[in-house]
Amino acid sequence: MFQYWNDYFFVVLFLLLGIFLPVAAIWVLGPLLRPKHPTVAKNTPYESGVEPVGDAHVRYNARYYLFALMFVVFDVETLFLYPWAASFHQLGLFALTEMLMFILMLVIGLAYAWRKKVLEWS
Amino acid sequence: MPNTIDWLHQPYWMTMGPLLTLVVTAFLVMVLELIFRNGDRRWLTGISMLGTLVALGVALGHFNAQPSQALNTVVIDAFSSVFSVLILITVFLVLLFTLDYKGSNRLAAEHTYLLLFAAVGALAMATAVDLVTLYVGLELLSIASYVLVAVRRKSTHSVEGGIKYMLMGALGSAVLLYGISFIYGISGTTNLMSLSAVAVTMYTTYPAITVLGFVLMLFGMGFKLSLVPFHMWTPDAYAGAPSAISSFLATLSKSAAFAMLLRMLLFIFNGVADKVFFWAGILAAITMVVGNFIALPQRNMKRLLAFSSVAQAGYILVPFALIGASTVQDWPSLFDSISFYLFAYTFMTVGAFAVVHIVSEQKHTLDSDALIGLYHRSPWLAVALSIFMLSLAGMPLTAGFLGKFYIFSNTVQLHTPWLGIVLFATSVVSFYYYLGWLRKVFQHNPEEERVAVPISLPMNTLVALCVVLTLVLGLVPATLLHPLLNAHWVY
Repeated sequence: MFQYWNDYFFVVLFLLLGIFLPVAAIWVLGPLLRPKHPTVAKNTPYESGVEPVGDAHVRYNARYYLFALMFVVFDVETLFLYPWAASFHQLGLFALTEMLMFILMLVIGLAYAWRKKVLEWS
Repeated sequence: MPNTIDWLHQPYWMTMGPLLTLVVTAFLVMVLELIFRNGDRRWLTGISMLGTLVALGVALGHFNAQPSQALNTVVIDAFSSVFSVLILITVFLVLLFTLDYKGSNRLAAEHTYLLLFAAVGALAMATAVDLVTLYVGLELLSIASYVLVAVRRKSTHSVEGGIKYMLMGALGSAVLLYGISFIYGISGTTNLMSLSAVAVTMYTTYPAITVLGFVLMLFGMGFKLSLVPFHMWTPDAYAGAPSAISSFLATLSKSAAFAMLLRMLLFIFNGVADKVFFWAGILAAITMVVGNFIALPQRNMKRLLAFSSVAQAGYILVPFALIGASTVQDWPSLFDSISFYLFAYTFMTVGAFAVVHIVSEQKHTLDSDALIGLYHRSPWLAVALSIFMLSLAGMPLTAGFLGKFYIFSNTVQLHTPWLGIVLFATSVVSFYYYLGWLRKVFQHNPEEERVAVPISLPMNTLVALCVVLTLVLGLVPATLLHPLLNAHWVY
């Protein structure tokens, strides 16, 4: 019982430290130590050294989300395929069948995206 | 490592029979939908219904079969058979309902296989005995439901309902997972069989955390069951979705969520039921009172049915809460009440949504004034709606009355009469709004030209099926009670 709460004590400790350190650094120590001479150029947001253009609140094209979704599908596929390929000899026919079923489902998903014109950009 | 011949002949193919049938049907319909792009594609729904019937046949075959399990995650027992049969019948009715959407009114073709995938999730929730598998089933059902609510993507209401449902559903899932994580944290296992063995030790060592886990899991499922105070999404999602999908949310989602709630909490907390289940009693009482009273002023027909479904979920939660006051000997009678009420509730709710759909399609409004003079436009629909409404209200000789009667007698037997009294009192309140519809239906409206209500063949079949099933359960309850009483709930 004691051991159990002990573990949580460290969680709470880290939580408090995590709040305390940035607060102390940014709002307490920083203003005390740093010199303060603001100019217009210093106050502009940093954008890779280029003059900032437009507003930061831009609307993204919804199509990017579809691409991200398709990417995740294939990302997860590789995640499963690598360990399976590495231990193919031990796993044998059962795993091969399972993998084929898994890939078949992903192929159906890809075919679906293709037929629904997700892959076209126009 | 199992060799080829071995795993082909494993009994677990049979154990997962209904699940696999539905998965294969869903993918088949999906591929066919991609190949055949033009014309009236309602035959895809026909294939889905056929697949559902096959799965239903397999599930019926499991009834009273020897309990068996596959891979320690999926089981066949009385519990899973009863709920699988209920879920598959509901999917069949909802698919029949969607056949009515055609021409300019048609739903995106995806709804067919989304419904099937949702049903796969629901079946997993009814048959799995591992917290992770149960959760995956729940998510499969939920995510398919979010899309189904927003299936009319050109309609603002539909998308609004879908997004609200998704946000609240995600919150519910998070709460549920948080509860599961506490239980997993102190027990070290997600398997329900192992969990039930350590329940008492768990409670005596960490009483506070065990209760917290129970409450969080109950609240998380409360979002899915739209129990008060987690019901806020219900009216918007039900009113925004096409009626077929609303009926799906009101029945299939709820049956599956009840199956999961029962299985999960009962298996984990069976040893300490008397310490934790009173929370469910409080939730049931609040749900019955608030659900019935908010339904009173509703004019929108689908919003009224939504609040009615909130209240009905409260009734079904009563026998669940009674588990805390019972011993193992009483459980079969509690399970009988829950499943009988769920069957009755499914038939009358789907029927009510079907009639509302037909009427609102003719009048192009969801206002309950559309019902005025329905008896003169279509006596058949008027009588059918009366049967559903009287049954939902709990009039004697109907399925709803028997369901409530069994629940009430449970509360008396188990010395928790206050829940029974709340159930009885709130039912009286519900008579006001259910019978308010009937008043409109039989009202005479002389200005109204007597245009007969057009009813398509699938809708006629659906309404007739629901009427017959509601009447059969009300007049000859033994048809369902007999197999339920003979089921080996506890083994």
